Amino acid sequence: MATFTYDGSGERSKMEIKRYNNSQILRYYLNGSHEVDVTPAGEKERLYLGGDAYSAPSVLVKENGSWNIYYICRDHLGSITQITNGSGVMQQELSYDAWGRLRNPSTLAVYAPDTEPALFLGRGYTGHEHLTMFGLVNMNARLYDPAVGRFLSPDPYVQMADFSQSYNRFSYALNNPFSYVDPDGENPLFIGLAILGAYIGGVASNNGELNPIQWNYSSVSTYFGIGLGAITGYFGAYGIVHPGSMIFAGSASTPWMTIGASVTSTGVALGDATDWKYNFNWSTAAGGGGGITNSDNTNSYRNIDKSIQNARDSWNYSAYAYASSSLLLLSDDVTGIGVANDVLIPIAYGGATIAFAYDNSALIAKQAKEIEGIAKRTLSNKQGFVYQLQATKDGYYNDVRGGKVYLNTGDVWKYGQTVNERRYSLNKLRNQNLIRVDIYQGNQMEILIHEKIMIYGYTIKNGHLPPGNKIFR
Amino acid sequence: MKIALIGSFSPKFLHSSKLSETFELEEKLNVFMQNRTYCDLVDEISIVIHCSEPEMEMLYPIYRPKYVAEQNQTIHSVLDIHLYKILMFNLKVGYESFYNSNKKEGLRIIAQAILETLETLKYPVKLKKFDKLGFYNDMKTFFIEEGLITVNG
Repeated sequence: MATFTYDGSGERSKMEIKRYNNSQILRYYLNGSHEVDVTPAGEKERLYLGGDAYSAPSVLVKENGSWNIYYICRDHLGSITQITNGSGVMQQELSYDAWGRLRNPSTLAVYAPDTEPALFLGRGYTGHEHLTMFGLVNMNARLYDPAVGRFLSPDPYVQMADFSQSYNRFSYALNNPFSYVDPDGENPLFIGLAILGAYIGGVASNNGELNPIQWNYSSVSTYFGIGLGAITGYFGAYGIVHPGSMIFAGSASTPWMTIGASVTSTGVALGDATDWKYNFNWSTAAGGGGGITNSDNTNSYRNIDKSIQNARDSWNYSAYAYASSSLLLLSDDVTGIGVANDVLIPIAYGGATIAFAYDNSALIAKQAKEIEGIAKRTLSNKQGFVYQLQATKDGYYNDVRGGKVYLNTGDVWKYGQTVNERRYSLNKLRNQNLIRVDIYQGNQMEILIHEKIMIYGYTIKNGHLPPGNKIFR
Repeated sequence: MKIALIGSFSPKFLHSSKLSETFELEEKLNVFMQNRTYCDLVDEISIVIHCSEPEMEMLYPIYRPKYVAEQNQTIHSVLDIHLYKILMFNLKVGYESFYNSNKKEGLRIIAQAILETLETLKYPVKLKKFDKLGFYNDMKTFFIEEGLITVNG
């Protein structure tokens, strides 16, 4: 059992942890930089130098009656990564997964419950106290469980009223902790190549501009380039880490670059069988960039390219842009450096990108697989169109999964495709305050792929299928 | 009587304002038609206006006008449709002129196409008593009042 005592100004002054009614730790907080531990093994004092417990680069520790200095290495979040003694000998090394769970720094494997090591300073992730016997991190106002990435109690404040993540008051850092760039907590190569890919994608989609500060963040092409680059980098890293599971081929040429990535997977990561193949490829000749083209213009993938290109032009990427900018704000909070001169911007974008890709990796993989399946089919050249049924009035509309959903005028209720203009469907739809808006014309393969992209895009953006679509077709 | 003006345009119009302009015209038309009747059998007239590039016209065929006295149906699993005393027909407007028109010109093209269609429309046999001329004249009056056509067409 842990008991916390606070002083008149709300600062924590004492913590006591008991086991079977025997005191294990009695900790006093004398001010922001001085702590005293009383344990069955004896007393231990810590006096942080050059900052408080969350930022100090060094600490004086009193053990067995004598004071010794230790140096603290921290990462960009303030998490303690290494502690050395005054001679530079490593005292303790710590590692955390994306959400702050302690893991073995050698194997990067998360410690099993009750096997976490005692922390030399009692502090670790973001400089906060770890209550290892509970598997929790004390973030002062609230206790945080890194195993689930959630606080034990709700946040009394909604930090960003216009951001839906703020309304999950148990979530940590808007569900986008800065270190979330490592989605698996398995291998930093994933992150490194994903960020590198994101950077290259950003450069490619900004006419070769190497300085991320100068990139056009209001352009869809930038996000698309970053996203595709990150995905390519991530898959490439997976192929390197798991030899034989993927074949990754890349190329680059001038004046800016042509990046090609062909990913073939036997599918552990993508949950797919053999014979899965999909091309991510985009080119940026001087003066243009961000588009997707297939490097092989002789095969059936031309249809896919055409559909993807059209979907890219018609899809609203604002949700993705928002996710990225939100992470920027978060990183700015963390670093305390103004956004305009924040050198971590490309890393933040890379982080946002890989988080986005990771969050939606199952959908992205499923979509790619289904598109691949369509591409293999023999379909006629009969022309048809992809349509969206959208609301003509604000109000409640039936959801095919049951119940009703509120739509504003213009919101999409369903995506579909057809090769037959249905004689009276327009009148019937109007009867239900829906109108059919045709969004893409093409042959059967093209419209099937385009419909798929739109449904998946909607789902990725909104977290659920359109109200009128039962499944992804 | 209620009038539905339904724009059915090709994807080329996806980012144009033609659909919302058609809605605007429909709203005004319904105010104008509010207390008018042309036949006891017709409560609503639905006019679908198609426009597409010539090479895509086969996707937007013109059908014979149809009258539905009453029909109940569920489509897309959850949409309960109830059609009652409704006359439906569709028409096309020229792609080049409509696509490149401004708002006023576009509505004028729609007005002219509707009147031209009504001049030759073969009404379903069930609607023998429908006051075709009265309906045509009222539509023309409305378009004149909106400044979309002149008295002489």
